[in-house]
Amino acid sequence: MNTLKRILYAEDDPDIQQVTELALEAVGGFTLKTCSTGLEAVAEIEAFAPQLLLFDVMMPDMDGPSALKRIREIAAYRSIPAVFMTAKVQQEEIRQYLQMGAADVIVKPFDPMTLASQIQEIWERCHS
Amino acid sequence: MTNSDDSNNRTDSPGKDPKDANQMTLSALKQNYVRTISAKVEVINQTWEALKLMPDDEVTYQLFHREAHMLAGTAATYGLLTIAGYAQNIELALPEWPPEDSGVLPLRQIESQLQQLTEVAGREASATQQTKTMLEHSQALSHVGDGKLVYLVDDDADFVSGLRIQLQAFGYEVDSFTELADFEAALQLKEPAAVVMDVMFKSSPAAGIEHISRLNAARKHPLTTVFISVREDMLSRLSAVRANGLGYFTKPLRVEHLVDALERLTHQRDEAPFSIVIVDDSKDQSAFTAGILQQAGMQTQEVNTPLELLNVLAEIPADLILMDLYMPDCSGLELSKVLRQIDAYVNIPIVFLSVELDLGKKLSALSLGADDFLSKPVEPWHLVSAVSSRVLRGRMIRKQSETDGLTGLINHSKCKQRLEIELARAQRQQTPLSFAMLDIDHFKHVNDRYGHPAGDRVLKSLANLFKQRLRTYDIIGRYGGEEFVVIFVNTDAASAWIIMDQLRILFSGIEHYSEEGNFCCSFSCGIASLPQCKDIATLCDEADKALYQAKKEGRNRIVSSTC
Repeated sequence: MNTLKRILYAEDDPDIQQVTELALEAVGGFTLKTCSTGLEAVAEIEAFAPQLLLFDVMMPDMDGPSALKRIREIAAYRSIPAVFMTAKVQQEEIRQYLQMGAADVIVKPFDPMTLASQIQEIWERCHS
Repeated sequence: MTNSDDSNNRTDSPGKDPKDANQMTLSALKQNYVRTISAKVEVINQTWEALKLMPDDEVTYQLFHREAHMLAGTAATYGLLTIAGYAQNIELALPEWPPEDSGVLPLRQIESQLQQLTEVAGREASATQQTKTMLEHSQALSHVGDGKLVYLVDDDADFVSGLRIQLQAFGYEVDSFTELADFEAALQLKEPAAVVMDVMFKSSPAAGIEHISRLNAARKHPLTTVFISVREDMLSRLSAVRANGLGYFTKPLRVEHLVDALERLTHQRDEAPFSIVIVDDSKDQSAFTAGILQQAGMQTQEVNTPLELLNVLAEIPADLILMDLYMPDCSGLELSKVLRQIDAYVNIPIVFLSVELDLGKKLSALSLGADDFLSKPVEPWHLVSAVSSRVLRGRMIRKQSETDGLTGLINHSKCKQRLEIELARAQRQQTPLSFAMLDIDHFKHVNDRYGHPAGDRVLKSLANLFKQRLRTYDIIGRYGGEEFVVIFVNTDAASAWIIMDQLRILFSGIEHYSEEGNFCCSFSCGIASLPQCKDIATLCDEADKALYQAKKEGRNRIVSSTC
């Protein structure tokens, strides 16, 4: 299994961006590329070549699920692990994301000090 | 001290763990977020008012939904659960679009939640005033600004990770690469302030140099590169120089030498712009002169009432005074006499600017301590060059007399002088100020056991660490021997304690090289603050007592004065 380093991250709220960058870069030691919309994430993917996607569900322009759908159309990223973040807690919604191929759903609020290990676990689960 | 017993190092305060740097950033981010929360709630209120007017408008509806959703998620992540709760209630109360009963919103429910949300947000915001300095400090400690990114390229992974930690302790953001190709790819994404490049790679004994050479050939400005190598031969050094290498260090690497070079090459603390005070009773004349100097990038302060000059100088550190010779109340000659009798102003260059044709007057001005005499009308280029050269010389002389040659920090008397100025300023502006005195633990033992050169390197390391990690306007000085001081402007005792404790942890993690083997050092520190201490004597005395207390309690700790 490769070590997880590069994460493509899409989130429209700058306040959450900052705390996630802290959680994944400073605490987790990952390399993060932060995008503010799903559209931007789709545009950045080839250049950044991420190993994992971390998308907020609700974003302007293009939401997380639509962005994932577009990315899955690219052959190289057909099976890239994708994780959604959302403040909604309805089980039905979570199931829906998992069905469309998300590796996991992280429910906000998340703990910035343990988010990195949560992501790491998901990564390991995807490769076991 | 050397591998000192950890049980001695316990302090019952936050900041023991390196993780605390992250915690501190987090709490700073949170405080920052809380400060904006009232504004965010205000925006939601406005959107709600708009939505009430046009309940059928999908864009407004979705906007309101998104704002509430965002607040629910973000506030909860920052631990503001009450706010998040109200925001989520609002989100849940909103029916899915399009609402079945078009145009009817659950008014009462949403309005009551919004009202409570607004109240809680107001309370939160007022509870987190006074935290600005903390945030700034935390940014200085945890976020390294642009221009400090260092790319470290070496195929020895163990060596790289060790060096990386050491450089990070000095405040550099370090990205390391064991493959030249990865380094080149990273270069495309982000330009570093400096590159530390190994010379030998498996592919070739000079692959590092060849690679940099090739990259530089395709670039407009060469990369700021320092080479490191086990090779000591002239050929390797020469080819490094030809590849625009600005430094060459042999392994085993002495980190403090590398840090010195990086500090020099990346200009961590930029030179301040020239600060010129213009004394002229004619506003038009002073404004004209100021305009010329400002265009040359200098900062100017005009004084049109000569008797005000001393007040202005108390506020502004002047590099040079440009003075009219003839003024009402007091002449330029008299004014310069007054200045030269005040210790703090003895060294400020004074340049006279006047329509003076009488050679005798000119000479008398020079004998009174004026440094130059320019006759009006003066050509702009002449003015700028006369002022610049005086300022540069003045700064150089001042630097020699005010700084400590080993560490480059200001010396004892300059520390005292700066403390007086900052204390007066803080009292006038009614802002807090903290004064930290610190002393390296068992320093005599370091000198005795590892030799004086090793001791000197410890002092330099501490100075470099502080220069990197503190805000540019905090004042760092070497008080003498192994004693240092920091003047934290606009910083209260609690914040200063946290910052010093971070530095304490970082410093104790730095490995110092010596021929007898590597070793670690720690320092003890006492802090006293304004407004608790009212004058400079009390401030110094209390900081000194607190430092003594820290030593007595077992060293490697920070103690705040109880005064």
